[in-house]
Amino acid sequence: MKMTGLPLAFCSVLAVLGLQGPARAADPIQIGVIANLTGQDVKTSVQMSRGVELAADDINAAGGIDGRPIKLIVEDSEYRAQEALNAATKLYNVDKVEAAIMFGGSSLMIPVAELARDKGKILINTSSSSPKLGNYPGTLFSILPLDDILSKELGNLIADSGAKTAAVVVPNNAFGLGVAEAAAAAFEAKGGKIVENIAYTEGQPDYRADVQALVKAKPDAIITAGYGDDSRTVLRNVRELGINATWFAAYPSILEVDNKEWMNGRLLGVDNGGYSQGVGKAVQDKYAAKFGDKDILAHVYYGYDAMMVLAEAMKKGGTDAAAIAKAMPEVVKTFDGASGKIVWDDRGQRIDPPIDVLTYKDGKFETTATRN
Amino acid sequence: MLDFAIYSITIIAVWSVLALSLNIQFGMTGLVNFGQILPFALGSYAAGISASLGYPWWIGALAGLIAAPLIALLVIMPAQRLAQDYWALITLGAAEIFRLTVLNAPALTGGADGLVVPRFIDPTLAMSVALAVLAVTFLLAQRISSSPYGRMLRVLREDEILASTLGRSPIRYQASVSVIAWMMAAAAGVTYAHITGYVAPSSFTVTETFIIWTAVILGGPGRNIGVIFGAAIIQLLGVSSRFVAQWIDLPPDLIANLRLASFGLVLVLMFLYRPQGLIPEAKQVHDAERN
Amino acid sequence: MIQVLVNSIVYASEIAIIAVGVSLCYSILRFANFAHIQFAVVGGYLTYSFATIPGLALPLPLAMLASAVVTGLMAILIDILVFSRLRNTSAEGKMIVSWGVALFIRSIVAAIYGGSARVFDVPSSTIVVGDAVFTTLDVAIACATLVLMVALHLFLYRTRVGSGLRALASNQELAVTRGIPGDRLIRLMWFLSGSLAAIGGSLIAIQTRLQPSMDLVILLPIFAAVTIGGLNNVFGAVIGAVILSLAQNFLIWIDFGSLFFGDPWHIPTKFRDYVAVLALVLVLLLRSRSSAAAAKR
Repeated sequence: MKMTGLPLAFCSVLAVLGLQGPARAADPIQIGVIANLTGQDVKTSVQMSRGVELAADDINAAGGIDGRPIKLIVEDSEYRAQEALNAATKLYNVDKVEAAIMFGGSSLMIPVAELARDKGKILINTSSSSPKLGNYPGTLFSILPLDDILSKELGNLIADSGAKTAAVVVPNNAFGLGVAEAAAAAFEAKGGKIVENIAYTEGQPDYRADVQALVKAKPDAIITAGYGDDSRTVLRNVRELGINATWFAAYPSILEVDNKEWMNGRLLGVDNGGYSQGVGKAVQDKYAAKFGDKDILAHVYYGYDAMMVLAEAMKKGGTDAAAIAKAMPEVVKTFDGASGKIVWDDRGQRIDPPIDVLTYKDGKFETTATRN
Repeated sequence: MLDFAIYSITIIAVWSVLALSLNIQFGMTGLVNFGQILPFALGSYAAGISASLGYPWWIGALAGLIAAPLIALLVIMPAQRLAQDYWALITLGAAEIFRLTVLNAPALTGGADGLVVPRFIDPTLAMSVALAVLAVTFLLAQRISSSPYGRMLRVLREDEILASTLGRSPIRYQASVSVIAWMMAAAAGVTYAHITGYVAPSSFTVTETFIIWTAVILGGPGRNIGVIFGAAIIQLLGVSSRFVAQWIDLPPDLIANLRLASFGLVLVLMFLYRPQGLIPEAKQVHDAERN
Repeated sequence: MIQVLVNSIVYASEIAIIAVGVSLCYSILRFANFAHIQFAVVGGYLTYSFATIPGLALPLPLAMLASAVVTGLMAILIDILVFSRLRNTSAEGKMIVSWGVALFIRSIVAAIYGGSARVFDVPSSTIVVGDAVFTTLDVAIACATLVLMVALHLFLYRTRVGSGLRALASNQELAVTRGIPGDRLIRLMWFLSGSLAAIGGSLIAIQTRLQPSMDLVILLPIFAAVTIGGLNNVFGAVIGAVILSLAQNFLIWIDFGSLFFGDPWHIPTKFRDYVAVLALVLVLLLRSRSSAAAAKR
């Protein structure tokens, strides 16, 4: 018991500062957003956060959740585990949010998921596809689908394109290696041959030494997956080596294209689909109107859908975490969002998403086929 | 709210142990360790790896407390006789080597994705453990500070040649003090791993080392209670900036950057205007020299 | 083989131009200035701004020149505000303060420009020599560095001001008693190292990308290069950069697998960073050996 003195004193200091207010029924519903607004991968993260904002605008414009508007509280994780935990602890304990929407790699997502589970709260994952996230059923729900189905589709696409040899260029992490393995297996099953495997360390300013081996390997196709700034540097370094292979990317819309003319028609990929249809198109337009930015990454849709699914669950079940957890799997059955239909396995991991086949043409991705 | 306060105090306690550890190295002995995060990371990873192999927590704790002093000797013994600026570079390099190693050995360390560690479910228990580790560290640091050994360390800090002429071997003192300090930091690391429930390379960068440095310089190098005070201020600044951002409605990324900028500014301003820190060290050096 | 040499030369160029400033500062003020890395980052961002701000949009070489001047003046300002007041502080004290300055600058840069990367859009064409592939940009970077290093050499060894700087480095008290204007030359040193770092940072940014976190990526290679060359030897830093760069690039190029086991196997490129850190630590250890031996004699 003696241990409570110090925290109580601490609390009273914070309380004097006016941080605490009792919740009333007419108050807005607070939703947490955790994103790395500083550190690495900032652009993708900011877009996810803006996607959530767009959804909250739409929900509030339509009268909120049972008359209560949504209020977002955005916290920075700095892409550091401790800061992500600081952010989550503040959101769950001080702001008393029942659910938070988060962007971040598995090194941030997992500790926050542990915390959320222990506190009986909800965490919605928009960015990490680590299989370990399946260990938090009832706590963690993923809007970003698992990679294996999509990666298999990618391998098939390469084989169907007529390529005989392919090289792998992926970031050296669970995401990159997972995509590479599944895509390569599908490609080889159809008679293709993997001639080079390159896994690069993220965050380097330059990858020319990494991709050098492609000169000798002379692949017909390059299998890739990767995020923003890193992918742009990789594409540029390979282009500068004069390598004329077609790129096949998992989630091409999260790549940053380096040279629009050069990549024209040279970049294909498969992505979770439906962005170019109904809701996705509407979100695109709203995003461009609100932020004056047409350079839109897939995480805008994930953020948007995360907020929308959460709101639907709150409308159906109620606003406390247990009710949300119960209602979530129910509401997705009829949900059709910016990133298409959502199918969850019994652990809240998104499986079997609609898949688009994309081609990069004239500075943007064109959907050439959709598989639901 | 209470939980958040408990959590904040827990974090402050952990960083206070790190600050005390740096204080007996730098504040008392004058060793410029720019890799202070290394023993902390060693402790954390010892806990993480042993947990992932299925051993009970105390195996990890023991491994951390044994590994840290061994690595300390490995880094320090060859570095003896080097001027302090070279020393700083060696410790900085050693910490980076460790970070790169855990990043590139995913079979053992989980690589960039890190490792899950069993965490304290009860926040009060986590706080109690952290405070207990802090209490032990503080008493030990105080004991060192007031002992003849501690006075000798200060002589060493002020004048290495004088220490040699007194018949003391500087390297023995530097090595022994590093062993003790690194064990303290490793203990903090083990505790930290079980508090956050997670270890990953991104938690152990150069920036973390400088957060500890800022705490020591702010609080008062050489004064144990001072550096705890410093660590508390720095961590509270980190926590409270989140609330400030919410009140005045500034973008959180701006606040995060300004917070780090303020750490840098604090370090510089303290050196310029109050190098002795907020709670200065009591003057003991002259007594030691007179003895 | 040629490819490895080309890669090494380009990387060495970018590192060397920043590293000389660290040793210039060390040789005269006797402390390792960690804030120097931030001069490179600031220089890169300023070049970006000068080259892209609407209405200004300077051509790239002019933008770099402007950035070099502004960064040089910033280095002087930092000296006036901070380091000049610490002339009598211990070397490690100044070193710690330089970290504070570095943390401050990097956070301000991140606050102004945000965390996303900026990219220079520089057209370049590919050159093929044998089986080596490189770009016109690579050639430009190597040439720019060569010209600057020769100019710096001529300045230090062929002008009165330059020899004044060298006198200051070899024996400050003696130099000042002989009437060499110490303070003014120290300001000049800050300007030189600040503007060289700005150009080096801009070259790296043009070649790769601009990011507030780029400082941590270049920190260790630069200090490794400076250490290999001997902290207070200005052109030693250039040699250090070349040695480091060759070691890094050759180590990942050599096919150790075929040499020892039969199947091709290379050291993965992710281990490149180790070379920098290990080189730094090894050189320091060897130096401590030799100084220990010297002490025994």
